[in-house]
Parts: sequence; C-alpha cells; structure tokens
Amino acid sequence: MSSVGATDQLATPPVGPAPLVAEAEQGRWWDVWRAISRNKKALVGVLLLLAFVVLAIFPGQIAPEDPTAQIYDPALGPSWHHLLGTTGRGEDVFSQLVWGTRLSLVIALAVGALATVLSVLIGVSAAYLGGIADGILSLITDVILVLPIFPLIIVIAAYRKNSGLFTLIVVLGALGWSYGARQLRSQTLSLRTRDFLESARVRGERKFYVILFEILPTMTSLIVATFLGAALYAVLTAAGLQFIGLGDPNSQSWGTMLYWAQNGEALFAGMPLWAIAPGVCIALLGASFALLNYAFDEISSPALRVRKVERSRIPYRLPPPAGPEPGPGAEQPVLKVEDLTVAYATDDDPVVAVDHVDLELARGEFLAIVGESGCGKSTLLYAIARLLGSPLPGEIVNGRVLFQGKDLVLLEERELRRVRWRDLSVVMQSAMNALNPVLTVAEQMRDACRAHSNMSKREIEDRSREVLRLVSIDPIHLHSYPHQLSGGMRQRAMIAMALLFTPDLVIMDEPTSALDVVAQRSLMVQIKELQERLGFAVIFVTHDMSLVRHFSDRLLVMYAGQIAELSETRELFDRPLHPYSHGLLEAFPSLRGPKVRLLGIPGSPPDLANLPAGCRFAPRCPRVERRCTEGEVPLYSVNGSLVRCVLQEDRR
Amino acid sequence: MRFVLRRLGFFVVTLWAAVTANFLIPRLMPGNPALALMARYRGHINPQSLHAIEIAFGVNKHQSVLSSYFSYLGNVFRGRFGVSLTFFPDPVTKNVLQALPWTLALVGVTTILAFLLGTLIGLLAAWRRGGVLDSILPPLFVITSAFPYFWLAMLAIWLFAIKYHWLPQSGGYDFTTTVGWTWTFFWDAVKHSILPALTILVTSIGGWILTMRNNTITVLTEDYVRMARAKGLGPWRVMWTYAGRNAILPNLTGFAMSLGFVVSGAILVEFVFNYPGVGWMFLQSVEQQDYALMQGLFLMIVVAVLTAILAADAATALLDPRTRDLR
Amino acid sequence: MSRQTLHAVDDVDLTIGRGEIVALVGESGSGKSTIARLLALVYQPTRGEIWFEDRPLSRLRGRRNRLAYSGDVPMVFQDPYSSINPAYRISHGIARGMKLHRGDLSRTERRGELNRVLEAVGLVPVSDTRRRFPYELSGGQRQRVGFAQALALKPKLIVADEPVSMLDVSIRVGVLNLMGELREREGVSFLYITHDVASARYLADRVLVMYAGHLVEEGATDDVLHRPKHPYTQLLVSAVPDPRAELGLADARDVGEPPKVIDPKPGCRFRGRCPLAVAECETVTPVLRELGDRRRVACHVAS
Repeated sequence: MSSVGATDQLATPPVGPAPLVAEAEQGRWWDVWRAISRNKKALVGVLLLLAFVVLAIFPGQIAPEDPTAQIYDPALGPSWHHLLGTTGRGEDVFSQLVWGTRLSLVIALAVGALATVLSVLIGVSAAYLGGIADGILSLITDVILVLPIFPLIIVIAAYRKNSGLFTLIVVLGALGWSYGARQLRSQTLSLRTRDFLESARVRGERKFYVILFEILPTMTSLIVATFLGAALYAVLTAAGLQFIGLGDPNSQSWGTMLYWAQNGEALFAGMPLWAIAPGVCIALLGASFALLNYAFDEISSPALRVRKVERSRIPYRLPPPAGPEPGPGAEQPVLKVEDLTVAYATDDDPVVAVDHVDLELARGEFLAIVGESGCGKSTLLYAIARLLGSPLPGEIVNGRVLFQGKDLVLLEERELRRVRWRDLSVVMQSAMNALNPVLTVAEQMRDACRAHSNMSKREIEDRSREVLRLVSIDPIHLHSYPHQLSGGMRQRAMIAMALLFTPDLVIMDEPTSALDVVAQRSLMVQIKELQERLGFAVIFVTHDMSLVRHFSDRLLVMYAGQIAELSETRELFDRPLHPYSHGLLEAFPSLRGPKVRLLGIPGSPPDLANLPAGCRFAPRCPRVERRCTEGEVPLYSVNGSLVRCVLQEDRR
Repeated sequence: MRFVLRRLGFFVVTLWAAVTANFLIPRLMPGNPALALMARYRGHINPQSLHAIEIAFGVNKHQSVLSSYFSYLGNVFRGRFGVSLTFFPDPVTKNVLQALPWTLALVGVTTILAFLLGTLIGLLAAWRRGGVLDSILPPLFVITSAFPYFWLAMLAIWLFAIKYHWLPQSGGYDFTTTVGWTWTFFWDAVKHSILPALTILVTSIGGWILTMRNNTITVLTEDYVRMARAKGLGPWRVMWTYAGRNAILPNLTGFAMSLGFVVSGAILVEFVFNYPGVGWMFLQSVEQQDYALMQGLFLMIVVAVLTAILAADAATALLDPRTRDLR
Repeated sequence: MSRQTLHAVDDVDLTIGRGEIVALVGESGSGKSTIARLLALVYQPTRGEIWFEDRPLSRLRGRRNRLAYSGDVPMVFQDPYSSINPAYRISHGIARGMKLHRGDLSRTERRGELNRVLEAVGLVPVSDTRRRFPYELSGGQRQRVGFAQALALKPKLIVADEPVSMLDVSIRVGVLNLMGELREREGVSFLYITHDVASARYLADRVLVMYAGHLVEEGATDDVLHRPKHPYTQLLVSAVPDPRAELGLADARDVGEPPKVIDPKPGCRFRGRCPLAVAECETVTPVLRELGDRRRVACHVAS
C-alpha cells in the first residue's frame, strides 16, 4: 500500500486509493468525474459506453428500418439508403446493428451485476470467515476458475438448445464469478490485518455489519473492476455462443448477425461487411469495458501513473552556485552537497521536498540526520545516492553532490555504477524488503562482486563469509534465502553486504528502527565499531534522536525540507539552538532523570504543498515573534553550528 | 513438497468436478436428448460400448444413479467414452487422440509464445515507463484483448486468404499433400497454422502484457530493486533478476487463471479455420449431437488446461523459494 | 476498591486497579498484544480466567452481556493509519460505538456526546474536525480519534496497544499526556502496552515486563526500572538509549533472540541469553515470586 504503515518517513502526503472512495462517499461525484476526464483511456471508455447505452435505449428512433423486415434486395452494397448494405435475406444491416445493441448490453450488464454480487458474497465471506468456510469456498472458486467455462457452457447449451435469455444470463453469471471472487478474497484478506476491522469487532459489531458496512465501502474500486471484467467476459462469451448457433437464431444480436454471416459465407460472397460491422460493435463494447477497467486501475493506484516534475512550476529556484571546482587536496571532504533541491510532482504544483541543502562530510565522519516523517530526510539521503524514484518520488532540480571530486548529479548512469557499492553503499530500513526474496544471500553478494571486480568464485565466497563474520553472523547462513533468517540477522546481512568493498561512505536509512531495543543497541554498537575500524564515513537517518547520541559526530536536524540545525552532536544535546531541536529533546521521556511533565511540540509539521510564510516552524514554535513570519529565514552560523532561526540573528 | 502435493490434490479435485459435471448435466436437463439417440446406436455397436453410453447418459433405468455414477467413473478412468457417432465406428478415445496433436501444436505453442512474448513486452514497457513501447502497446492490446477471437479469425481469412491469397484459408493441411513425417507436409501444416496462430496471439497477448506491466511497476517500487541499483548492477541484471523474476510470479498465477479464457477463444478459432483440432471436433460433435464424443473432448480440454496449470505451478515453485519452504 | 484480575495462556497473571495505569512492556512477539486481544474478547483463553469487576469473563453469555463488557473495556490500536475506516468520516466509529453501547441516548444527546469526546481528546474545533475523513488528519490526530472512540463508550478500562509507537517523536508526548488527563478527568484505568520503557516510566504507576510469553517482572514503575531484578529487565533497561547518560556497554554484545514459543518445554525461556543461568534454569520454569513490596520476579537467581 502507499505511505501507510511502518515506513512513516515518506515525503509524500498520505493519499492512496482511499481519497477517491472517500470523495465518492461524500457525494462529490464531480471529483470522480474529474479523475475520469483527466484520464484519456477512461474518457474514451465512458463515451463509447454512453453511446451504446443511447443506442440500446432508443433503437427505434435511431435505426431507419425494421431490422427483421426482409423487404429489400438481398446482399446490396453500402449506399445512402442502406449505410451498411443489406443481408442475404434482404434486411438492413445498419438497423440490425442498432437493434442488436440492446441484447448485448443487457447481457453484459445483467451478467456483470450477477457475477459481481456472487463474487462479493463468496469472496468476501470466504476471507472474512476464514477456517473451514474459507477452505471450501476458495476450493470451489478455484475449481470453477480453472474449469474451461466456455466449453462447459457449450455442453450445457448442447443439451438445452434455444434456451431463453434468462437461462443464458444465469448460466453465464453462475460460472463467471470466480475470477472476481478470488481477487476480492485476497483484497479482503489483506484488509483483515487492518486494524479498523478489528476495531469494529472489538466494538461489538456483528459479522454481517462488518462485511457489509466496514469492508465493502473500502473496496469500491475492486468491485467496479470486477463488474467491468465480468461484463467484458459476458459480451465475448455470449457473442461466441450466438456465433456457433447456440443462441436463438432469430434474436436481434450482434453474435447472431455473425452467425448468419458465417452461414451465408459472407467472406466468399464478397460481403465482408456482414462480418465486420457486428464484430466492430462487439469489439468496441468490449473495448469500452476493458479501457474503463484499465483506466480505473490507474486512477485507483497512483503508482501506475507517470508524473513528471514541471520545473517551471516550482515556486522559486536559485541559479546554480558558481562554486570553484574542487581541486586535489589533502583535506578534501568525502562528500560535499551544495544547494541540493529535490521536488516531486503532484496533481497540482510540484512540491519541494528538500530545499537548498548544503552539507559536508569529512572522511570517517558519522553524521546523523533526524527529523519527523515527511521532513525530507530520506529524500535527501536517496538524492545524495541518486536513488530517487518510486516509491520515494522526486527529482533533483538543483544543486551538486560532490563525491570523490565528481558531481554525482551530472554523472551518467554508467559512470555512476562504477562508484556505487565500491565507494558508496546503502543500508535500508527493512532488510525484509531490501533483500531480493528469490535469491540467496550468497547470490546477492555475488551480484555485487561480479559487477565491480574480477574476483573468482572462490574469492567471492571467501569474501562473503568474511563480511558475514564481521557482523557476527555464522557463515553457514550464507546460502540461506532472506525469509529463512530472523529480522536481526537479515539486517546484519545487509550491513555485511554493504561492506563487501569497504566503501568510503555508507548511507544508512533507519537501519535499526525495525528492531527491538536490545537488538537495536547491539547493532548500533557494532556499526560504530566497524566504522572506526574500517574508517568509512556514515550518513545515518533516523527519527529517534536519542539513538545516535553516543554514536554520531555531528547531527543535522531537518524540518519541512530544510536544515533547521546542524551541530556537533554533543553540542546540540547540551545546548540546542533551534527551538525545534530543543522541543525534540524535551519530547523524550527520560528513563533515569527526574520525572517531569513534558509538553512535546504542539501541532504537526506543515504540508509541504502549503507552507506557512517565513519560518516553517513558526506555527508550532513556543518562542515565535513577529519577525519570524516576515520572510524566509536564512541559516545563521553560530560558534560552528548552523541554525535557521531569527533568534540567532543577534548572537552571530 | 507440501506445495506440490497440494497442487496435485487440486488437480484431482478439479478433474473429478469436471467428470461429475459431465455425468450430471445430461441427467439434469429436461427431456434427455440422448434417449432419442440410443435408437440410432442400437444394433450397430458392440454391447460393451452401448453399455458405456447408457451409463454416461443415464438411459439405463435398471441401475441406481449412484451405481451408474461409479460405473461411469470407472469407464472414464479406463478411457472408455463409448463410440463416436460422427466417426462411426471409431471409439471416442481414438478420435480425441487424433485431434489432440493438432491442438497441442497450434494452441499450446501459441499460448506459450503469447505468454512469453507478452511477459517480455510487459516487462520492457514497465522498465521504460512512458517510453514509446509503453505508450503504444499496452493501450493497443487492451483494445485487441476485447476483440472476439472468432471475429478476428474471420477478418484474417478475409484479408490474407481471400483478398490477397497469401495464406491458406482453412484446414490443417492441404488435402493434396500426403500426411506423414515429410518436409512438404510439415511446411504445409505450418502455413495452415500461421493465421489461426496469429489470431490467438493477438487476442491473448494483451492480458499478459498488462498484468506483467502492472506487476513490474509494483515490483519496481520495492526496496530490493532500489537496492540492486544502489549495488551498481547493470540494468539487465536489475531488470531480469530483480524486477522480472519477482514480477513474473503473480503472472504465472494469472496464467493459470486466464488459460480457460484462451482455450475458449481457441475453440472458436479452430472452428472458423476448420482446423482439425480438439476445438473444431468439439463443435462438430455439438452440431452432430454426438454426445459421447462431446463429453470425451470436454474432459480432454479440462485435462489439457489442468496440465498447463500444473506446469505453471512447477515454474512458480522453481522460481520462488518461498513456495518451496511452505510449511 | 474492586480488583480486576486476568490470567492468560502462558501463565500470566496480573491485576489492574481502578483508575490505575499499568504498563505492559516487552519486545515484539513477547505476547503483549495477545493479552490485549484476550482482554478485548478477540481471543478466548485456552486455560485460565479473566475477572472484570469480580465477574469471570468465561461466564459472559449472550450478546447483551458481551456488549456491556466491550463497552466497559474498549481498545485503542497501534497503527493510526489503519485503525480508522478510510471510507467514512471520523465520526463514524464514535457514532457506531454509541449506537451499540449507549442505545438509550437520544439523537441530540449523541450529538452532544460526540462533541464532548472530540473536545476531550483535543480535536478542536469540533465543528470542523468531526466532518473530516481520516486521510485529512495527521497520525497524532488519528490516534486521538481512536481515544475518542473509546471514550464515547464511557469505559472503565482502556486497553491501549502501543498507541504511540507509530507516531512522530514530537507528538508522542501529547498522546501520552492525553492518557494521563483522561485518567484524571474520567477516572479510566489504562493498560498501556508498549516496547518503549521510558514512556512506560513517564506514564504508568506500575510496570509489568514480558519475555517470550511469560511475565518476568512486576512492580511499581520506578522500582522496576531503576532497580531491575530479572536479568532480562536489566538487559532491556540498559539497552534503552538515554541521551542524558553515558553509554553502558556491559552487555551490548548480546545478539541473542527470544525463542519461538511453539511447543514450550519447561525451563526459563531467557536462559539462552542469561549471564546468570544455572542448572535449575534448564529444567524448572521459574514462577513469579514475591520479592519486596508488591514486587514479583520470575527468576531462580534474582534476589
């Protein structure tokens, strides 16, 4: 799912599929229409469907002739009088087409509705009830799903020729629900772990209520998709049945027209229109369902949409700094970030997630970046590593990242690859997600070694064992798959992997936050030991300031995309300069100190798309003054620390 | 191991369901049409086959439903479906086995090809989001996947066989060539299969492209793909081993689920092209009211689909270590 | 003062007094959440009994009695992003709760209650917040909705399952303070389940420490956290990052993990990681024993 869950540091606001549903619930159909009209595929689908609906409701008004009247010369070509010619029996083809719409549409909608109701009933109850009921219902679903339905319907129809429309709809509906039921079941299963259902149960709601009023409203998009899929299946299957003569040969439908076309040897008689015209209609009606389905998928899962940052629409943008090229020098920092700005696209204006950040990192230094969710700390981290892209959207729109004398921002992907892992490696928050589930640890280590060296198989194996031992993992786990390791071990294995080449810089994104305190502390100690022993520099992102107190050399506090304060760690803990840093320190209850009532920081961080004027922290700041809101606050340098607060203006 | 056993169990259950449906449908229909047919058989075929047909259609009133059900199961198990009326006096089994190679060659090969090609295109389209491939092919094939198979088949015949005479319009081979393991015959068969194969390919490929594209887009947002990029792996390595291999897993499940749909379409394609496969014979038997043959062919289709699904399951187990470790 | 006692499957027994805040501390998988769900009637205990106001829960028969109990003991969930139905306004859960548990209220009374609880949890101005959809609120605000839902039932004991662990640091304290205020103003008891020892100290009167499904230590908050007796509590407390103290590296080398309690054999479940383990720990499961004033420890060695 989108930004819900443990990854609470995403820079995107928490909008997922829910808003669309919510808007609909709210009765704001206008917004739904806006979403549809923005999507070309949806628009085409809707218009096609509307056109067919009109044809189906008013065939008498639109069709020029009676479709069954065999009153014209047979097999006429297209003319003004007969737009699409006449049939072998002398009926007007165009009129037949118009009248045929009704049956196809009725079958599509009726079967769609019937199959959807069955899907919902069976799929959702199977998942929600669980246990034996689920076992039986899913087995039935799966069996019906893989049984070739069409031949089965033919078998049934062969025994019962010319059965009516009602039977057709019932049979198609009764056999066509299984695909949707399967999808709805798995969606419900994933919802089952969502706490709002547990909350309803704990509240004492009945099962019936939970299914109908708590589960179903959250699955609107999937239910619509099920309906569209079933309608498409109905259109095609019904046409197929009519085509082979298993429908009523006297009914007015496109499939029947094709049946007559085939029987009348339309193709050989030089009358391809008999076959083409009804086929085009079936294809168009089917396409309208398919397009709507496809578009709906795109609308309800934003990941499928492509968005590009329109740079011209970024509120303001400074010219790139004309800094001097870094020359070869002994005291050269391992990393120098200049004026880095990252923006990501939304439906409206682009949002700046990292706003003109400057940073320097000395060789072997441990820099920690702290901040709340959405402050841009992870975006900054991945921008430095040039790893932006979904699920962490964003584009570097300005600035430089100088690493080993090269500007990573401008580097070609090929050159970038040479730097990666040898000199710059990454450790992520959750190894469960960051390790490829289908490859063993050994294979994933081998991948990295192969990409950057000519090591032999033997050497790779030896090196892999060596780094595992570094992080206190028994090398017997080398050939395990990630899911076979425990959480702590996976995390260590990922750190081991990052050390394969002993890089200059290791970037760490909350590597311990998925662990328990005991495991967390021992991992921190280990990281620090390795860092001191091997001499690599670390950028360590965390939301927990107290975690890095004893480990980091400097601390960068970020707020709403900007640097709020950058100081020596000890200095910042002893004498925080920014009211926000101060507030963060005060927000931790102490385990050992005196028990005092804490206040935390009132309010919540600003929406990056809608920033307050002046200082971004001003609305929550206990020491806010008038001048705070009067303009952008610059970074002040105070005793070697950098602070973005007007209170420091006087003390400079 | 548990995984394999469970899937095998599913295979058996589904097959049993199909056999039972076969047994029940004639009995549930008002005015058993098979009764009238019995007269046509009587005296022409040996008593054993007659008995098999009687059991299959519930004509024999002396047996209870339950005991005739078990006799039927026994017959099916031994491959006794009675005698075909259309191809009298050949037993149904012989007819089915005659049609099977044609269908396997046409539908089997085309389906696998469509799956592989569609998966590949879907992967590439997702990899280059918003690129040329991505902006043209997926929407295009969404539309073609809504085309009725048989209609596209008719169009293909009209255009390539009737209008331009590029390819033969029907049949599995030319009647002037002798059937046998010769190059002439092989080439002739290939020529006859191009149009039906293309029809199936064009209509079925869209589904694979779309699901693979969407799976890949989802997988590309996974941390392990970002990790692979961070490791500096080449784009091919990332695309195949990290994105592709993980994205294809749900597609394999999808393969199993949409196979029935493809087979339905293929039946109609064989019908339109008069292609001598299982589907064509199936519709012939429906038209001739040759119920014994029809039931035999239906079971054949079920077995074929189930076998393909087992193969997809095997591939899943091969590619995904997590299913192998399933409790 | 009436006492509420509960016993759970893994031989856990604990009591929560009226108006008391008891913290249940442990790492993930230690069984904390199971206890919450036992209390909320989501699971049934296989053995043992839970007493609420001197009545055993296993004797709760019929929907009315169960409803009455779940109105007295509501639950607040860990994940504010998943604990409110995204398809409804935030007032939905509150209104449903009142409809189920306080059916005697009239429409206007219910409306008044809605405003009252929203205001009590600090979601002001009420006229604005009550029309919001969950996605329009921040994590902290959503968690306040969770408490408002509980409060609308006029509860006696709120089971709060890690209510702040997914919130940002700067707003955690606000939610902790809210729980304290609700206790003062509404006289509600809390079972505060957490893995954050420092927040337990901040909020709770008493602390219970769990390890691998066992209760290993119990006592007054400062007593337990400043003078831990069980080796696991000692390890846990020493591992808590404390910016105001020097780094203690004594047992930082511990890379052990709690055992999987699927088919437990007798013996102390911590023995594999324990620096004090003796032969007895292998064979005899330690039970809680009284060590000082309302202080209980499950360890053969501790004294």
